[in-house]
Amino acid sequence: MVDYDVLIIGSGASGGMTARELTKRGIRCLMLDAGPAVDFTRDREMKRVYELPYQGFGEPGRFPHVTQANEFNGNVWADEKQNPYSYDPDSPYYWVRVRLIGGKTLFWGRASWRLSDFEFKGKDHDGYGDNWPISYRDLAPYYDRVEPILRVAGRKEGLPQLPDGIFIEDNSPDPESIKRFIAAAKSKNIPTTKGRRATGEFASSVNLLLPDALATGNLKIVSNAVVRKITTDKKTGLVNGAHFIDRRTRRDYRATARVVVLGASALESTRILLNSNLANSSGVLGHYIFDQFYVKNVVECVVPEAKHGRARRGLMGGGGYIPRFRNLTTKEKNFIRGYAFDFGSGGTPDATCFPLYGEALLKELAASEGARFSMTTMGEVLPRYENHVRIDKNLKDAWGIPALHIQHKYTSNEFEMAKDSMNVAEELCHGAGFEVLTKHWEMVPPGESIHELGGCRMGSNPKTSVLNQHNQTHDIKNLFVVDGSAFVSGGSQNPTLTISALAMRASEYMAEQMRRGDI
Amino acid sequence: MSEIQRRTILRSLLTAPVAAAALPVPAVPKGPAESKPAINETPDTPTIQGSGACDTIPATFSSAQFSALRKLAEIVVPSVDDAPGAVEAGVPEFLDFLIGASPADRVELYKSGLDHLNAEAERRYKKAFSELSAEETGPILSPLRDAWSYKGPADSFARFLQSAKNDLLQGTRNSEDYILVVSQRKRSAGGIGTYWRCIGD
Repeated sequence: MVDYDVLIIGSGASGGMTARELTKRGIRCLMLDAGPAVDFTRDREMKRVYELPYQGFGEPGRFPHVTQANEFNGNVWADEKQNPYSYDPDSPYYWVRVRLIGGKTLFWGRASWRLSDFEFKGKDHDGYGDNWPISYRDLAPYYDRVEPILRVAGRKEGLPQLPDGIFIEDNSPDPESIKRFIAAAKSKNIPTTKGRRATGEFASSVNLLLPDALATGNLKIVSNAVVRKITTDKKTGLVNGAHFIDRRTRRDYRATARVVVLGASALESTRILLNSNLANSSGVLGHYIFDQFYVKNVVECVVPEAKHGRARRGLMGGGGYIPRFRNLTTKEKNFIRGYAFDFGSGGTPDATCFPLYGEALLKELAASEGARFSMTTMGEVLPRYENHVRIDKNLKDAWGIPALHIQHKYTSNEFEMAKDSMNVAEELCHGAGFEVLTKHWEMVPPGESIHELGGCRMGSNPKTSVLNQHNQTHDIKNLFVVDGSAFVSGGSQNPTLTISALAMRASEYMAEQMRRGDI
Repeated sequence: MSEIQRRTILRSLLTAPVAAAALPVPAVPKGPAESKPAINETPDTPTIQGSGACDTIPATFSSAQFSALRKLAEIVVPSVDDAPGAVEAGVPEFLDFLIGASPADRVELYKSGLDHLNAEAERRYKKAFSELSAEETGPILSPLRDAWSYKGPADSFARFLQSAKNDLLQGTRNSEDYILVVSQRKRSAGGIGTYWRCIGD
């Protein structure tokens, strides 16, 4: 059996970045992932929807919690029967998982926003919760290095709540409908910007992070390795590896290493630690979980000039982003923190928007083809101790590993924010001259945004946090957690860029500690 | 001599005309057999879906329920501008299969909804729903003209109608008949997507 320097559990944004940074420094890494590797040629084919067994409806009941699943992509999501979890019936949680090498980076939306000190130092701003133990200044140099790796395109705006980065400059012109919307927002002093997204045919750990690590010769990847628990040296109390099970054969294995890094996703890493009974002297392991709430299609509109076959390219298409604008220099009465919007022009409104049927419905759908404008709200969820995960003693996965019970509820701050966002969205669309077909402020269930965060939050005080500012557990110096579970708060920005930057920063610290012989 | 060198030399001997001529290769008979694929190749065997060639056997809904569903399909998604409607696209038959494979609450929503259509038709006109004129169905289908709400209607019959409307429309638009007609009108082919096979098993 080979002893490795570092055992990395998970191969997505955080695990992949850790492998990339450590291996190039000559550190020998073993990576475990619960799923197989994807072969984009072998595993995909073009099909017509009517050739699918359920004609595009999907196998009924297969994914009760994965609204992103459809009959084309059903095989990429973690099987819910093999990977069960529980929640209280009155507070459902939609845990969306991918168990493949590369993890969720194979399919992410690629939105790449930096956090700012409105998040890192949120408590200083409004008194709620806790500050991160780092500031924007600490992470900025890592954002600077991660953005070119992900090839992030965007436009610099100089907004304090949405720091600029190292972008492939996006100066593409906006179609007329988007220009009108931006003007309506500007008249209300609401900022807008282009989307900031990772570019390229693929933008995944599999093609952007792991190849560099493998090229060093210092990385071995074990696929189909379902981790049961982290193991410890009883004499020293330090971790020394992991016990895992082959996904297909159920055969048991033990991996050993000098340092263990968890990057299996916020809730999965937390689950592994809870099952290992490690890193919880604070009692907050599993607590302060949160995500970002979504109000999908908070407004659905049509652009009147684009109806009846007039949805030409210069009028329709494109989109953008409204960063947080609430509670920056003013104070809202009903909620703290803020929310952002994605907006987009093009496509056809869903048939449910029209209270019609028969020929009238079909004619209205034909008239509205290409004329759609819609917005989605993404809001900050306040981290709360009572939102937590714990081990469900009565539930195990297909490999006999105890599963999670997830307890996560949105409360008045999120509800008030969602309501406010609907009113703002409607006002902006009216201001742009769009016809608002539907509006609502119903948030999707917690988890559905796939932005699970917290559970192993970082902090300066070992009594109230699991990790220090370098993603190292307070309790065990050779155990690190580098994924979204480290977040103290999340703002409304998609988290992958920050997860990647934190993993890079933690890896540098880890490598230095190893070089010194401190771990 | 390494294995790779040996194989390289052997390959060059087998492909060089002079060398090949020197080898005792049996003559291959010429004729029609030449146009057939080699016996060890896997020929392309075209297949179609069962629904493309055969009638399906209703298994979920009673005869009365299925008749009501066909009538509902005819009214909610009719044939317009030569594009097939839900009935022409075989959606009622498909929904009989799909709903039958669905969780129990969805089966119940459909069955009770279809029963309600017939009960209302009987109450109002002393007829089955399938026997009503389009005008006569109007009052019964009035919940379909209610304003949209995110959570949908609280009333189970109204929820059934909304669900059936969406299913009938999607079923029509995903059908082979509809896609073939619409694809001929537009430059882009509809209904094509990237399908992921089972990975790693």
